Amino acid sequence: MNAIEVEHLSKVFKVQKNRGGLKGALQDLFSRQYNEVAAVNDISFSIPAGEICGYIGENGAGKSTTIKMLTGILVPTSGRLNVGGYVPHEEREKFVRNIGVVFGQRSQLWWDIGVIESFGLLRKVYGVPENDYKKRLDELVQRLDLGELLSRPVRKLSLGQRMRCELVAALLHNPSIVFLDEPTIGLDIIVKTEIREFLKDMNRQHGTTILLTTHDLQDIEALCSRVIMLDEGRVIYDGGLDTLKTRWGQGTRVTFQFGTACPLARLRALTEGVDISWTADNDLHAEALVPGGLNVSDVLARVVGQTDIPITDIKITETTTDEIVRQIYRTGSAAADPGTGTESGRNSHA
Amino acid sequence: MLSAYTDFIRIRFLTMLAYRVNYYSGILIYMLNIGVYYFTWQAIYGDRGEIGGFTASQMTTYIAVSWMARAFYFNNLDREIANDIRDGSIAIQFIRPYNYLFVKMMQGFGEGLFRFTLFMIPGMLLALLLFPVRLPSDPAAWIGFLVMLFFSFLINSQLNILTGLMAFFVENNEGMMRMKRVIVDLFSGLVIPISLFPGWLSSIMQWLPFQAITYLPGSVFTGRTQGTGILEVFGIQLIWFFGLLIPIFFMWRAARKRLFVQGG
Repeated sequence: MNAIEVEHLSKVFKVQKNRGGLKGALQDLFSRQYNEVAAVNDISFSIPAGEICGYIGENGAGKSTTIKMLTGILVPTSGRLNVGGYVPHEEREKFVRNIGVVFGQRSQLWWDIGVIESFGLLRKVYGVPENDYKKRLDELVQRLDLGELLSRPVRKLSLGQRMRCELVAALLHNPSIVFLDEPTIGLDIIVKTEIREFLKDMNRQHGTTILLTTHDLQDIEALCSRVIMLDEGRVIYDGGLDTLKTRWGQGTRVTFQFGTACPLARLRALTEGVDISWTADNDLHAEALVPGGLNVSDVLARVVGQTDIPITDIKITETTTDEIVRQIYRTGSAAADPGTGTESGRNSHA
Repeated sequence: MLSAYTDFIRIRFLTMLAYRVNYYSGILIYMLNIGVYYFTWQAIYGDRGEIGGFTASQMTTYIAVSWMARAFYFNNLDREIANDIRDGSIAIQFIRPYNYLFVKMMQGFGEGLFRFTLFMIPGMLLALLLFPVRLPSDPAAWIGFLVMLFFSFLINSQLNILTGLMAFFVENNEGMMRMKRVIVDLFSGLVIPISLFPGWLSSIMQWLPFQAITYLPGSVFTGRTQGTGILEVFGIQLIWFFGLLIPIFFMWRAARKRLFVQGG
């Protein structure tokens, strides 16, 4: 069963055009001109129940707009939506009982009152029975280690403490679908790891479907088996994270540090016949890019051991997801690479 | 669910209570206002018996009770709503299974309860000590006034909601909110009773909701409206209360479609 189904979804915003100069400002007073901007442009995807899916893209790619349509906050311009059996914006009050939402940049707790009072209020808002609430709260408080924070007012919490409380607030009513919009933004590595572990456990234990937007690709690597990548309002990649890596990974990078100057030409001569590209900032430092199919040891064997080239340091690095994603953003499409189709990725994880 | 709504009243009341020191200066300012108008009217009356149907003593009572009623019905719902819209936190309101405007109304009422018990009542007692205010002796006037005072709050909050929601349609509704405040103070009869307006203006006022906020309850309290007249003016309040629900409904629906969450 699909928890989320999206078909040809679009959202167009009217943005006021400001004409320049005093004359333009006067003209604007009487007749406004608008530009139509498609924040989300004809996207389709579906997410099966129980999946953790990463939703990534540059700033302004349309991630948040999609999340806001999926959660019933925004009304789509066109297209079909089904989330947990509801059309979000049409039956908003019924629909939201079944979902949990965390916006990393906005607090949903009440600023002036104690954390536990906020939770109590949410219990009443969602109509959670007293017993279920106690059980759930105990479990969450223990898991996220909130013990002594509960009595404090929200405004006195640090960002990391607040974020953990935000998670509890979004999950008290045990939603089956959870939307997280940049849940780890601004957090330190310890809290980030804690939150990732927590989300993973929740997904395993309760089978919660999670859609997650983030700029931190480590979140994606830690949590998601599948990613949907967005650029300028369109889906440019939808598939497994592994597929993304194998198709787009540029192989391994070997960095050499030399004791004495070693010209690039010499290195190229050494690796004659092997498909390796060399780059160097100066004569003491060079980088070899080894494509996926080749062995790193082949390169090393040719360079290491040459008596006239003293090597002081070698570093071997795998292409990171960050680099892959940066590469895809730059070209603006993941489909350009034959075989990295949308379909293959989607089917690989059902 | 109902208990959630009453919780909003309770929590706002407690939050206000935490900041109660702010309101001590408020009582002082309201006393100053009453004083200024009291002495101004004393000078205007001189030894004239009646102006615009008010005796000098009725006028004193009217001023005091109008300001103290304002201490109760006044709230900043317009500003709160406009801020929620402008900084985008309205998004959070939409992911909750409740009606945002109803919640705002409840919070406004929590504030109202606070203002009633810790602002209006002590303020009124102080006004009784300082100025020759005459309390009504007729229990009907008391009951009528208190019921109508509640509807003053409702109607004033409805106007605030309408003004606040304008933030959906214009980029900055600050000017509108200020204008609304001045209009409500002036046209509700707080500054000058409506019967003293020029004929054409006071007949326009008959067709606007503002009189229902201050002037009508004030008339009941001062005893200028009595007996079945009380039911009549209360009827006007009821009509406005239900009438104002219509534009709110349509504005809210239009706003839902237009909603553009600021800041991504």
